[in-house]
Amino acid sequence: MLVLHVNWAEGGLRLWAESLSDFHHAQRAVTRTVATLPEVHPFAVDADVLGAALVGADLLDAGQLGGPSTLRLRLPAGSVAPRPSDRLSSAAGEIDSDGVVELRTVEVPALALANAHALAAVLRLEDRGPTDAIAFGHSLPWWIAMARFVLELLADQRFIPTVIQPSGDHGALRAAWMPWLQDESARNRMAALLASMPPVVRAVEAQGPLAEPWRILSDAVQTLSDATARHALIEADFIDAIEGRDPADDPSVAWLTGLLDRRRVVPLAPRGGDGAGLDMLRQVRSWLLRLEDADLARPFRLGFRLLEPDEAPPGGPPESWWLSFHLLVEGEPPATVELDRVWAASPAAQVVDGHHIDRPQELVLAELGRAGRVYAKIESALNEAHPLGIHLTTEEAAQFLREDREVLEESGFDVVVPQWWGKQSSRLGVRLQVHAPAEPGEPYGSEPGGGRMGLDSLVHFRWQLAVGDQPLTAEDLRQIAESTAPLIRIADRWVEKAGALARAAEVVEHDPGGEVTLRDAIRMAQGAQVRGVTDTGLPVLGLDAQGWVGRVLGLGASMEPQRPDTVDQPASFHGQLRPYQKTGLGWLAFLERFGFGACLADDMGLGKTIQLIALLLHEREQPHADAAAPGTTLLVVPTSLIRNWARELARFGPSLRHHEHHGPQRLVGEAFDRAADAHDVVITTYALVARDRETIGARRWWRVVLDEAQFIKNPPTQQASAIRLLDAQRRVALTGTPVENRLTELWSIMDFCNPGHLGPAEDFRRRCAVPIERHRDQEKAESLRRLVHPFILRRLKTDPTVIADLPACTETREYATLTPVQAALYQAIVDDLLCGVDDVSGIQRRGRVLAALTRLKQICNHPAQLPDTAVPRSVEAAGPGDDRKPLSSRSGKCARLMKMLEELLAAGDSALIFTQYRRMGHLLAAMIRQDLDIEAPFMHGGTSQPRRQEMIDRFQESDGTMPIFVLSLKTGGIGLNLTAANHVFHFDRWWNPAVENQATDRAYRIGQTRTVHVHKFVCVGTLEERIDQMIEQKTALADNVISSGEQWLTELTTEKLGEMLRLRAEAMEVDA
Amino acid sequence: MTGGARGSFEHRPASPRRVRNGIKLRGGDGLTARTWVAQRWLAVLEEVIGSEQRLSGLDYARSGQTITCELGAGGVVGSVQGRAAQPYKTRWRIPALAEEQWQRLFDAMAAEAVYSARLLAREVPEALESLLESLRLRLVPAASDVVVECDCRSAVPCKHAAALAYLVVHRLNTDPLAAFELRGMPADRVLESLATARARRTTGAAAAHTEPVPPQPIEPARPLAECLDSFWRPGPELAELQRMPPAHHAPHALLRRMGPSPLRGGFPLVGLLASVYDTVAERAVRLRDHAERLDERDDTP
Repeated sequence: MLVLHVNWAEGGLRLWAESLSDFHHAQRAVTRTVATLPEVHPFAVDADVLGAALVGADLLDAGQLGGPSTLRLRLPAGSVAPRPSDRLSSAAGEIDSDGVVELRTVEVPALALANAHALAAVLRLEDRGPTDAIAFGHSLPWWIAMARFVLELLADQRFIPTVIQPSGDHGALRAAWMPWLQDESARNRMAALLASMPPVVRAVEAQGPLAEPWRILSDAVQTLSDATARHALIEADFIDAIEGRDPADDPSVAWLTGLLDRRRVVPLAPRGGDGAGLDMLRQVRSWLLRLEDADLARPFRLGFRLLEPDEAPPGGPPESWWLSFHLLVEGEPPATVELDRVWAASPAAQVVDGHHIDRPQELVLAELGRAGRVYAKIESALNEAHPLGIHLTTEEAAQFLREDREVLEESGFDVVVPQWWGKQSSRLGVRLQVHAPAEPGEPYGSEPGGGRMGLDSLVHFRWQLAVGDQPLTAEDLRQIAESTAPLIRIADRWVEKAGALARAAEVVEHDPGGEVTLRDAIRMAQGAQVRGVTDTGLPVLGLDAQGWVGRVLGLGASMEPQRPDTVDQPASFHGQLRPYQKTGLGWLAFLERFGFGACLADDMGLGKTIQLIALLLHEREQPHADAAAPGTTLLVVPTSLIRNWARELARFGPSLRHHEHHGPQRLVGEAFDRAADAHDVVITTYALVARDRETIGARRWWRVVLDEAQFIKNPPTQQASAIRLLDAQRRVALTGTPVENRLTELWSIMDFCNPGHLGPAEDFRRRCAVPIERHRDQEKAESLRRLVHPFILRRLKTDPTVIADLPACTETREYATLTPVQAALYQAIVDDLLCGVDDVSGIQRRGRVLAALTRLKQICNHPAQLPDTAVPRSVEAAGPGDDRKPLSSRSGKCARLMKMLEELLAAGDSALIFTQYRRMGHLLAAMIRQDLDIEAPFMHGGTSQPRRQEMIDRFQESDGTMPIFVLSLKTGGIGLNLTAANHVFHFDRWWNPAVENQATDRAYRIGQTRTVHVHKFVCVGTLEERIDQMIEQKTALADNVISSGEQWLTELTTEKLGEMLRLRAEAMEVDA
Repeated sequence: MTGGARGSFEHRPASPRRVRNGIKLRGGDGLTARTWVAQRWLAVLEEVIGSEQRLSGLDYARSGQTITCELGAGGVVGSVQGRAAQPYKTRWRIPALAEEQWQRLFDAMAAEAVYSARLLAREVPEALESLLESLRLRLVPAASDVVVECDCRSAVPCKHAAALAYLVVHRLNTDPLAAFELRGMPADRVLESLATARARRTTGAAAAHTEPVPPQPIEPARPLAECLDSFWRPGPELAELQRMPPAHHAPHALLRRMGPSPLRGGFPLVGLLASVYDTVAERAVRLRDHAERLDERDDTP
């Protein structure tokens, strides 16, 4: 495997790559020989190897590649070799070492990209994405963003022609295309690129200003703009336009020669010499300087205001618009001075209307002259002695609104246009009116709504021609049809005429409506074609829904909607629902009543599980006929969460009977059906839904619930399709990730909840995902938001309504299972201990028990934490062998932790993770890098004092850029102030709540503004759970535990000890 | 008296004819030099013109006999009303510096920020004099370099020339940058040329466009050696960038703002540039959306 990197060197992009196999090889070589740092990078591949790999993987075309070169890069290095990049390090499964790392220069073979093709090549890399053979270094997204930025500048025509006189070569002018970076949008992007530049981009050895980040960025942006523009012009044979003209006669031709030719030289007349060069430089400069006239810091600006014909002063042609001039005096607030006041003042006046303006008439005339350059119509005003404005025809007014306005604004003039311009309310189009014939049947009936529910419900629709939200009358239509003007006045507002109006009017007249499913109606409102419905050809401005459809679709209309049908806490619920949880329950019940699926996407820690349990209890407390009694809910969860759900169900809804479907003994066929009928809930896993398709998929379920529903985004296809094929009357998805911003996830979840709601996947991707993600199409994003909002409820911990309900600190147990390897190791150590412990006594016995306890805790954490010597021979074969699997998948706790971290990162939270073990801390940091692709520092006893402070400062001040901090309990558990975290994980347990609380208090202390969520990890069915229960239940032994740590265990009889340590069946990961 | 050239029968009054709105030197102005360029100029004046003519010239200057006085390429040109009916055309011929000499001067000045800073404040720093010396250049010419001409046909440099020269002293006192004009370089071009030279110095080249400047505030980048923790990764601002909606400007917006081209010659430059913009933009859009076309191709079986 290769890891691809990009640098900017010698005026072009250079690709280079590290090789995983060379890295392994280099590591082995190092251990054999005493080496010093080599001059050539030991695991970077040769340029031809890289080129062949890129072309072979179809990442680049051979034509896009340039020749080989050598880079001198300053890279982080240990004493004998450069460190692998983060990407390579996690691919190699490296675990952090504390070795000294410093910057060293090494030679790296590289491959050039031809500048003319460089942007295309970078975007091609983005399209193709990393492959198994070629991974992308972390800096690639930055280069891709840079390439997109340059292309967007060129696509938006933000570049200028210029001339440059290279140093030490007076007279030989070069022409160039330069990106125009002076407006706010471009400046902000450059600032963001500069601030986010990965340090590796600066690694090329260079002197002085050439090594400055700004210089690297602006060099790359400028060079690639010129190369790309020039290439386009050469391909289009632009040079032909000046064919046969002598550059010596015409400086424009000379300049163009340099701009259009592959060589950049501006061929100036020889007799002109240096003077001609300077002359051209000066003239071009004065031309380009006009772009900088828009000096917004000036105290006065000339302004223009467009008035509709009935506001225009008399005297112009009939129906003409009036563009009036004024002076805008900057200030708080800015003041307007009308031009008649200026003309009335004396030419030498210094004060107009109470504003100090020196020589106002000259100022206005000069500015009008400048404006005339940009907008030629204004020149006509200068024929008058005291111009106040100009008349525009309707066509000219439309043109002014569309284009001239913006150019004037950009040139620093103040422009005021009628309020209606650009507003949705003045757009011409059609609205879709929808109403459902009748309220669906009684809630919780077996077949509510006569069988057609949710999106399948039939609704009546009607097209209505409209301007904004105002319907058009026949008279309006006639008027529009007769007019040829681009702007038409209809019912008190001006409307931009749409081309397809006549056809649309015909469609609406002859084929105004009909009956479709609600699913199709919603798609029509999004502008999609639906079979059997004639397209109007006009933009669809909105959907007006009446009756219950309106109520459902209106759910998401405002940010804080009145959630319908507030529901009381079910009497059989054990515990107390917080107000926002009752709202969630009411919302779920409401949507289900009308046959819609729902996605509950509350932040982690807000109690999605509880709300779902409450829903199950709620429906069982409603009055219903026996035939319509609630049936069985199928709960599909990730393997690691089965135990968690079983425990939560028992705790909050003990009246709910649940059946766990997993493991080798799981039921099939009729036995399964009988079990399902006899229980309220069947819990199973994603994998088993696919594997036991015949059993699980054969039933019609009352309800299917997906927990961690984001799982169905990219599961093996089998799982996804098996889940999609489940037959269910009600569908609920639970997820803690911000689904609305992840479009693939959003589609998958919505398609589960309300099949077909967002159309076919491919359709959705092309019409929605690409425009929103690639082109950041705000309008599409907004319309998608409206579409899904009724069916997604996502509350954040920071929402005002939620905050008020949340305590300052919550604590939860997180139950994890053991992998088979973990379980085997655990069992082997327990057996070992119990067999031999009675052979010794006293201190020896205690020592042996303590050692075994430590091993058991380590195994619960991660098998790799166990020293090799401690692996019992019996399990060595199955032991911590499988190195190819991700580290985290080899431990139940770790897998669970990674999932939770992923979720909290997505919500923008940050976390402290405490462990007692140094090795575990390193393992955690490595896993976090591998699974989540972020760097988490690890502070332990060996961390130097300055380094500790640096870590703390960075965590506290990082604003979320360093969201995870791993600490050893002893080092990090006291004294520190880490209020930037709002989650605290106790990964392994100290058994002394006081010690744990002290660690928790690093985050939960003065200065903390958010709710702190404490998560205590417990391995089910192991000594961890037993001790945890003892402390929880405050048993007599608990005091012992707390005061003496694990010492007391050593005093137990072998029998009691065995009872304590024994591995119970539920410890095992299910369906392995 | 009819108009036309002065005739030989012309009556000459004892004192010069009064001039309306002539340029007047006030009080002691012109006698004392307040800037070093004025001082050098005063020295030239005193060396070139005899004391008698100087005194009369000073009177002329104070009583406003000077109708025009212009500094520019070729020196100082003016018209001074004497006793004759028509004013005399008077000229101080001063050789302009060659383009190459200016280039050397500005390149040297570009090396130190002080020159730009002081010139922007409309001052000419004294340090410039030694810099000029090292380049063997003079801003204010030596007396031996100037030639005085006047159509009063006086045998020696005359009071008319002196009157002009005193006004120049005043000018150099109030706007020392005028010294550059004596040598044929308008004051606004001084700043521009210096800016060009400075640009050439910092970027190794001079350019017609303004170099884009780094965003404010300019924080020096953290030394690479201190970035080893996050060496390979982009900063969080990248996510912000990806959230910024793309800008949309009117077609040809920049070209329209620039207006007609100032270049000589008959080629329709602006027209050609307009189609350049269209072609490049179209190509960039195609490149940017390349991905979509690829995808669609992939979708078809």
